[in-house]
Amino acid sequence: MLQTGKYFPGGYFFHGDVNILGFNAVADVIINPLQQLLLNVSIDPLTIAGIFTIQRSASNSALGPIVSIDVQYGLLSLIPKVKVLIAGYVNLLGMSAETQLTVDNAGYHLFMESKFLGLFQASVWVDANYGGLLSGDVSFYVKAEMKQEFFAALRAKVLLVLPFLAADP
Amino acid sequence: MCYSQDCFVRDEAFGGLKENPEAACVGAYTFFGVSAIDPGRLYFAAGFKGLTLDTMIKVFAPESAKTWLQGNLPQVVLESGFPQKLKDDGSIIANPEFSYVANPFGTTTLVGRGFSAC
Repeated sequence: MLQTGKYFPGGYFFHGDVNILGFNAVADVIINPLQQLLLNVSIDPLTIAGIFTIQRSASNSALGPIVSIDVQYGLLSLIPKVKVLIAGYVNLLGMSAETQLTVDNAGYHLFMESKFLGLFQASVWVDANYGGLLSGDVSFYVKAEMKQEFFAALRAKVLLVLPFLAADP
Repeated sequence: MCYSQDCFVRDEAFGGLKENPEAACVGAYTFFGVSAIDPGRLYFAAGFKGLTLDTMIKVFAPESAKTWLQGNLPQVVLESGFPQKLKDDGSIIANPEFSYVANPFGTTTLVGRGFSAC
């Protein structure tokens, strides 16, 4: 049967939705030199025996990580329309890393956090709002935080053992 | 190109044939267009349908192997591959599919040549 009238977008286009042993991954790619750059990749959340976890965020285990980049720069648009979303959380044996990044024409938001066995934690938040640039309504916010419990934990362990060492001749 | 049985059924509403999503079919389409005087009319597109292990076993495996494989392979293995998804009108969406179109505004298959589609 000959199919007629099917439309294909300019440039490169790819769509694939693959299932590997119950694990799903979806990818959409459009690369058009005059109109749009689109990259959309997402996978299912995955947990292996409680040892390895990969999901959308530390609190959202229903969705998997996503990378979504959509830049539209049509001939008639003076300012390109940008939409970026990168979100993912990985945990391996108590060591975890999380990244949440959104960028669009109105603002920028970034959150990154790393944790190491409950002994070390570093977080960074960045928020920038520039949607009201013409009216002077812009804002920028950065916060960084680092916690380390390693030496406190080490000290507690040593103090726990010291009495036994002192009693041992 | 469509390989199996009963891949198309009569379309009672509009006449002619339409794809049968109930049948296990493996298919592919490819379209291409080329012009010796206008490189901007170059395009190529291809798509596949029914590329799951279960469908390929049903379509390609010999009868004896088919029975054994379908009875012994876990369902999660049989469902592996590129799963079938349907449009609102019941037709099958090609998965995966890819294309290259030199014209940045896109093209339709009306301006080229195509091999048969499933």
